[in-house]
Amino acid sequence: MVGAGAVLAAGSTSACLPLDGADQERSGAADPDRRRVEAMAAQIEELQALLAATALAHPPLGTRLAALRECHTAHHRVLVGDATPTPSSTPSTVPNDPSSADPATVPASARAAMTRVRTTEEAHVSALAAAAAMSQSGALARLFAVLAAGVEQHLAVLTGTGES
Amino acid sequence: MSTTSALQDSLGAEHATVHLFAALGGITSVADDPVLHALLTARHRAHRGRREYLTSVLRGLGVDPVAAQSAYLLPTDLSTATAVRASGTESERRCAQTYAALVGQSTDDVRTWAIAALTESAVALTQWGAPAEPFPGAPEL
Repeated sequence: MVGAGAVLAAGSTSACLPLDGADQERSGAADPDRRRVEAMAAQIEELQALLAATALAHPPLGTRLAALRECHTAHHRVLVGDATPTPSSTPSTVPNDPSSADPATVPASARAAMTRVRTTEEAHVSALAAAAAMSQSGALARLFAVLAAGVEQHLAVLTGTGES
Repeated sequence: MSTTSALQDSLGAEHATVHLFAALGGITSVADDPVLHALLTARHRAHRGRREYLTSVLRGLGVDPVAAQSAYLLPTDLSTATAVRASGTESERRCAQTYAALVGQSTDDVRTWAIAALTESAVALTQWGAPAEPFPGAPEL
């Protein structure tokens, strides 16, 4: 798998090399592309917590959101390697990281909860597209653009604008 | 790959897609399958627009845009809506891959345009009936 770490490590295309602590200390602060990877990974972690909390608060939504959660897990893995919260192997309403899922923060109405998810996800797509536009590395730009397209595609299915 | 070759690859894919979707439109009945017909019409229009943009960018770079081929090999079986959708999916996927490549090989306005084109094709893939996937346009992932 060609991950962001591999892209940042001089454009290797043969393996995913996660960003480790040493890499980040070495060049993190000075490398805008590395900061973009870290920012997008952090944003995905926040989204995963939101989706997990939403699934806990509204179990029927959990099933609908399962594919999107798996998409985010795959994106996080390609950005930072396998040093991530272990995802469930099958879609479920159980959060990947229960400690970060707080259903109390989720709107009581399922419709409002979905609106919040959609709004937050759309902002994430915009952030990924902006990161793609600004990346110094062409390979990283491509990766960010593909991630944006992947989330947008899942949102289209989720909101019924896909699948005619 | 250079910016120019990535643009030419995308244009080549668009030529083929415009040709294919025109042919598919000719064998899809608006009465029998209005949803599919509307999808074909909309996607044909979108891809023609992209083809015009790519042609314009290449000319702006002082490059001769790759010409459409005189003919394209169509799928042998287009007798069912399922076959038409599968063909549309394949063509849309090919375009998405060229746009992902173009993102990596371009900057500024062209890159921004390619990001939008990739995203639009990704959404269109689900309209053709493809399942959502984490990495549209990047089969190696």
